[in-house]
Parts: sequence; structure tokens; C-alpha cells
Amino acid sequence: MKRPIILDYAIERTGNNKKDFHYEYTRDINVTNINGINMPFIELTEYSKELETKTRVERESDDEGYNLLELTTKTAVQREQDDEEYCLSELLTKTEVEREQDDESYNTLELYSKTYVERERDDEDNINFN
Amino acid sequence: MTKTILILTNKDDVTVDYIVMELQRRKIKYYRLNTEDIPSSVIIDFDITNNSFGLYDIKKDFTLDLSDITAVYYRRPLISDLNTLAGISTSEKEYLRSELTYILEGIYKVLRNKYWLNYVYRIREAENKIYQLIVAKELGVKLPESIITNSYNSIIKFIGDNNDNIIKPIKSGHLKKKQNSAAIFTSKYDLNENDQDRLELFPNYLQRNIIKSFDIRCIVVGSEVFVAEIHSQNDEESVIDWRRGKNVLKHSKHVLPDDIKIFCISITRKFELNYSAIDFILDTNGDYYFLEINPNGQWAWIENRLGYPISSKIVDMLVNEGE
Repeated sequence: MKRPIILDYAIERTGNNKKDFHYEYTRDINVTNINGINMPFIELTEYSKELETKTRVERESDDEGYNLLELTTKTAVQREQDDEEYCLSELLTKTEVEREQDDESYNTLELYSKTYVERERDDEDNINFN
Repeated sequence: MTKTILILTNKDDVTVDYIVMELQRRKIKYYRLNTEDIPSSVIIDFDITNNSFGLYDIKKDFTLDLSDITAVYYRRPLISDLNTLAGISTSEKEYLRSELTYILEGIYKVLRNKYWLNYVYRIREAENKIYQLIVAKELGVKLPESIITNSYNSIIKFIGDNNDNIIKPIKSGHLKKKQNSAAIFTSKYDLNENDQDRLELFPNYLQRNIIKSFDIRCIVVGSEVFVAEIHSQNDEESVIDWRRGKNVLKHSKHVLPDDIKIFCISITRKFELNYSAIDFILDTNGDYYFLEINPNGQWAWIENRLGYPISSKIVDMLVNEGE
């Protein structure tokens, strides 16, 4: 069966679906629990760098900071750096990659488009966003 | 009148966290509406007869009157998956999600006269990449030679004129599959004469491959342009499409020539946007080639990497309702 050429260039996304942060309603931001403290997720990179420096000096071979460092490394490898999903520096997880909140397909209109494609020709679908 | 900023997004949008923290730092009133929380924890309370448009946030025990909003930051609204509703079929769920979509659109309409960064319908208008290329060309910037066609003869002629080419998606590189999703990046394209039937099956977007010094991303906020060089040429995987590389690419600040900076501001205004993310190639001759404009493009990693005050400028714009 012949297929359009563009489909030859599809690359399957890899990675896990684990989200490394959770939303805190009281603060209106995403946080990550570090040693019992909910740190703003967006400050995590700096924090992990500091921790890395600190632990290099202080530790022997403990697990301190491992998760943070792993997070940075893992997500750097797994991320998809396209504009659609390139959400935040190198801290992206596949959860973000997978979801429909990218540059192109912001959800409302995407959903509408689907409706539009699938519609029958009734009045309610004649409204157009353009 | 007290400034109140409404942020339209979803909970996982960590880019908005930058804006929220800046608003908190400046003690500016705001409300983050994570639209997927409608209707489970955000109650819609519209009374058309009395011209009252309220939202009640159960978790915060807070009522928002939409008429109090002075500016809107539009990011990544999502519709609830409605998974908390029991006893409804898939098609009923999709029906209800469609209803929610229209309620959300109603919120946009209620807020239509407020200051937006960016207004949702202007984003939609600016998203079409074919239209972007037409407008950019009108504004006099260089573009890679481009065709979108499923005419084999046109492809043969184009490849005859430009023997080094790339192929790219026209709208989206995001391909959903039942299991894992896939991405389609910009890729090198070499003609295979056995492909005639396949090239004629569907329109193909081909461009001349511009040999890069590096990629450039410009973040336009009002009349300010924050520019990043993305050093994509040291890693084989990222040579054609920098987003593809698995390694962390070096970024550095860049100063645009005046005419390119003016172009960035002009095309943003032409699309009636207050914000945009514009991608260029700087070729090995020092020429700038426009690739695309993302009306709701990502910016947080540029701020993170290079220390540009992008979130601060966005907040300035929202608070001042412009410049």
C-alpha cells in the first residue's frame, strides 16, 4: 500500500509518563517534593545545580540529590524539543509531550476542528472560528 | 480600577508558573483559571438576563466576576476529560466536552474587549504556516524557496532548481497513535524516482535546505525582542531540525540587525498579536531566513537559559494593558 512521503519521517516518541511535579492549588504553581518541602518546579534546575555542587564536595557516595540529578538527565534525553511541546527548559516529561497543549493544537480549536470534520451538515456546526 | 489578570491555561502548564510567581512578587491580583477544572471544581455562574458572568472556585472558596478582569494571558486551556462523571458513554462524554468548549468560548467572548496576550482568535489566524510565509514575504524578509504540492512535475522542477532540500509538516509534527505518539521533524529529502505515486498522493511541503550557522529564536513581547542563538550545527541530529537533538544545545544571546528586528515587530503587529516566537536560520553568508512565527510559542526555556526578563515583560504588558 502506498503512503504519503511525509509519514516516512515519523519518529516514535519514547520515555515514560511519569510527571515529576504536581499542582498546588494554594500557590497556583507546580511543585516537587524535595526532602519534605514542596519546591516550585521551575526553580528546580537551579536547586539541583546547587545540590550537585554541594554534594560533590560533601558526600561520599550517598543518594542525596540523586533523584534531582536523574530528573535533569533523564528528561534531557527524553524530551522532544519541538516548539509544540517544548514546555520548559530541559525538565519536560513525556506527560507534557503527549498532551494536546502545544503551540499548534491549542485544545479548544482543535476540538472544534474535529467536530467540524466529523459533522453532519446541521446548523450548529456552521459557526466558524475564522 | 484595580488590575486583575486572568490566566487561561491548565494545571500542567509550568510556563505559566513563571508568570504567576512574578505576579505574586509584584502583589498584583490575578486568577489562574485551569480550565480543565470546569465544571468539577470551578462552577460556571452566568446570568445572561442580568449581565452577570461569574466563576466560583470551590477549592479557593472564591468568586470571580469576569467584568473585573482587566487583562487576559492566554496559554494552554484544556477541556475537562469528564472522567469523574459516571454512567455516560464515550459519545455522550464527547458531546459534553463539546458543550464545555462552547462555554469556554463564551468566556472568551465575554472578555473580548479586555487586553489579551494574545487574543485567541488572533492566534488562530496567525497559525497557518502558508499564510505566515505569504505575510513574511510581503514584509520583505528572506524565505527559503518553498513549495507545497502533490504535482510531480512541480516537484521535479523544484528539485532541479534546488538540489538540496528538506521536507516538513504543513501544520503539525505531532502524530497521535493508539499507543505511543510520534513526531515528524523537518528532515532532509532526497528524491527517489520510485516515489512518484507517493508524492502525488498528498501535498508535500518542500524547502531548499539553508546551510546554517545556527538557528535563531526571537521572542517578541510588544516592541521588545529577546533573541537566542541555538547552536544546532555541532550535533548531527540537530543540524536540520534543532528540536530533534537529544543533547542539550548551547544557547547564547544574539543581537539582530535593525531590519530583522523591525520585521519581527511588524509581523507580530500585522497579525494583531502582542506576543510571538519567531524562528530564523542565520546562514553561512550571514543572511537571515524566516521559518515561522508561533503566536503562542514557548519562551520559558529561553528565559531560563539566557536570563532574559521575558516573564517580567509579559507581566508589564498585562498590567499596563500594552506598552
